[in-house]
Amino acid sequence: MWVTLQRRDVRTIAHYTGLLIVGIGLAMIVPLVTAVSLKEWAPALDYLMGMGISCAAGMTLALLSPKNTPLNRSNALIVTALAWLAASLVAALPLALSGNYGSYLDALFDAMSGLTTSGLTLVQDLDHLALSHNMWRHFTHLIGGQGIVVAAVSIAIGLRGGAMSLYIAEGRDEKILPNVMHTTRFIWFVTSVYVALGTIALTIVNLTIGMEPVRSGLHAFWATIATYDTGGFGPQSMNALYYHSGVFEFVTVVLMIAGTLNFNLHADVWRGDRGELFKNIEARAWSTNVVVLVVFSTLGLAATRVFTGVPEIIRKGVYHIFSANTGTGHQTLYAAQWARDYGGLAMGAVILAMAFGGMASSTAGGIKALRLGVIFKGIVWRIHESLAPKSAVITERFHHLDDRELTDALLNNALMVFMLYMFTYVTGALIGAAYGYPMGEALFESVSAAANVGLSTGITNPAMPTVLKLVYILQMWAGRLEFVALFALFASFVVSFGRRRTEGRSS
Amino acid sequence: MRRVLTLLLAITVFALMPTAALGAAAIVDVTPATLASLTEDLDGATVRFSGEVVSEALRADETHVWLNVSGDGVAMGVYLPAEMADKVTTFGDYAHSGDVVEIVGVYHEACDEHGGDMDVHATELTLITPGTEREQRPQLWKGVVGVVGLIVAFTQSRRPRDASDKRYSSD
Repeated sequence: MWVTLQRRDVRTIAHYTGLLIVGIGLAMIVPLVTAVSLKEWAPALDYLMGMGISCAAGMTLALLSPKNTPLNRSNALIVTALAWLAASLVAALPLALSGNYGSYLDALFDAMSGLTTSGLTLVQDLDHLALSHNMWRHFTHLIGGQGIVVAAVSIAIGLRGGAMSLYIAEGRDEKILPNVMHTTRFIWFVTSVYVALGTIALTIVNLTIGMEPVRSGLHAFWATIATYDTGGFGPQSMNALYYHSGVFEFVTVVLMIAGTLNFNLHADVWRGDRGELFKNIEARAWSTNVVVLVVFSTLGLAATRVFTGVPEIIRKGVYHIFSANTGTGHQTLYAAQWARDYGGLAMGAVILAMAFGGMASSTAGGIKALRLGVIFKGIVWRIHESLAPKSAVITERFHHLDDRELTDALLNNALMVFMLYMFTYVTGALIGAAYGYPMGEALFESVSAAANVGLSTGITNPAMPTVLKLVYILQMWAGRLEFVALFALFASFVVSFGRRRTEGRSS
Repeated sequence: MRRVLTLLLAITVFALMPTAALGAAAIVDVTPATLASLTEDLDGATVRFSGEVVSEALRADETHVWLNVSGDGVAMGVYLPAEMADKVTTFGDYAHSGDVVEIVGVYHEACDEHGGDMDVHATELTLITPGTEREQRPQLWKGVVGVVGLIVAFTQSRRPRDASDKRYSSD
């Protein structure tokens, strides 16, 4: 039986969505302070206006239900799905006001891309964008990377009544500490440590290459959060190429790996249990993926003969496989080089790396290594079963934080998400191809959007067709939510609307 | 004999012509966008382009620096001797339009010396137009909308929101 939304449900959903919108509005203090500090007065007013509209709209919605209204599981799923769209709609306001976007839709594209830590961008004249706007673009990676709900719960903006439901609905399953508030604070603590270390390391790199101190620090902070949160935005149009530094690339690869690590594994490492890293099915599946794809990528690069030296083949191959697989999306290539210089095999390896994705309960996108590990175990299980005598009961076990038995339910869940990702990848590619883009490049871009990666063959640009912009926005949104919350949102609206129409006719 | 000499002279001139023509065509006029789009096979060619400097001089090694030069919306890394880069005093950012320079140099689709990155090794840099400040005029109406919004939000947040409130009793 389908549950229809009652008026009380709609008010509850509006209440929580409103609180999350207020949270995004309050987060605009960061770019506002940046703008005032750097005397960027025009952008400062963009953020004041963005804050005012977000807080007023959010509080108005929040008033539709009393404080601490309980939130059931289905409503939590709907709030989570809506929160990402609502957050993007308000986060886009100051960007649209900046004058660096062709339309509000382009700004919305970047806001969704930032919050979902995708990294595809439609910004124009990025090299002249205000530092405060760059702060906001990158800050959306930090907010979205930890999860909008985690961000909101950890600053306790009044979500107490539904914090746990929302936390689970957002696709997070970390039970690092018994209390959701403590868990989210642990997530922020780990993030703060990596962000601090990354910022210090990259500031030193930037100062060494001759950037002035303020720009060094800001660029380092942005590169760190864009990398650790596996986002991929850059403050300059050349992205990672801007710095011409192998050390910069090395530091960002380390941050990419830290960003793609499951938060439960972070917690184990933090507690001193490094053994978990070696026996965990997800860590094994992820490292196997990366090693195999790096080999394919380097072989492919060698075959094109454009990159002639072994060090440069390895550097380009390793960097882009890590960037793709972790969902970061930094690139040290120009868009046209993917098709011509990178070559078919290496480009194929990068597409697979994006499609597979990093680890669950991290900021990475894609299918996720845990699901791939489970599916691989499932295949072994079925083969084992088919070879065993009929009377034999064959079980398959795997280790993920603790020893578990592989069940049909687990396998079916992994296969369902796998199929949904594949369907989304292919659908986006077909739509891109229908607009006349070469199929390989259309597939690359579609996978990049749906897996929240951000690498681009150049299809994503302000002049691209509006429908394709909407398709990629939808793909980024669906990919970040891993489909279920989004389907719950659509199903609720369709069922509720359908019932209302039926009731209206019968009365 | 005169005819033979004339013929020899004509052959010599004809033979030298392509060389002279090739010499004239040795520098190819491009933009950073055409280099990055790979529409022409120019790897190893000497190219000339102009564009706005959008980075400070970034140290490459003991004697050389990088300048990122933007034209047609695409920026290209230019590797050049540090003293040559001294001519550049303003780089483009939010507050400035950077110096516009003309670069002559060798284009590398995947530079062996620099980790396979696409770049241009400059042999000449000419300052065409000095950088200027960009005017950014704040629009006060945005601030007014923002303040009104914050007042509305603050007022709303002060309203009672207990479940016993009659506003919620109709549910």
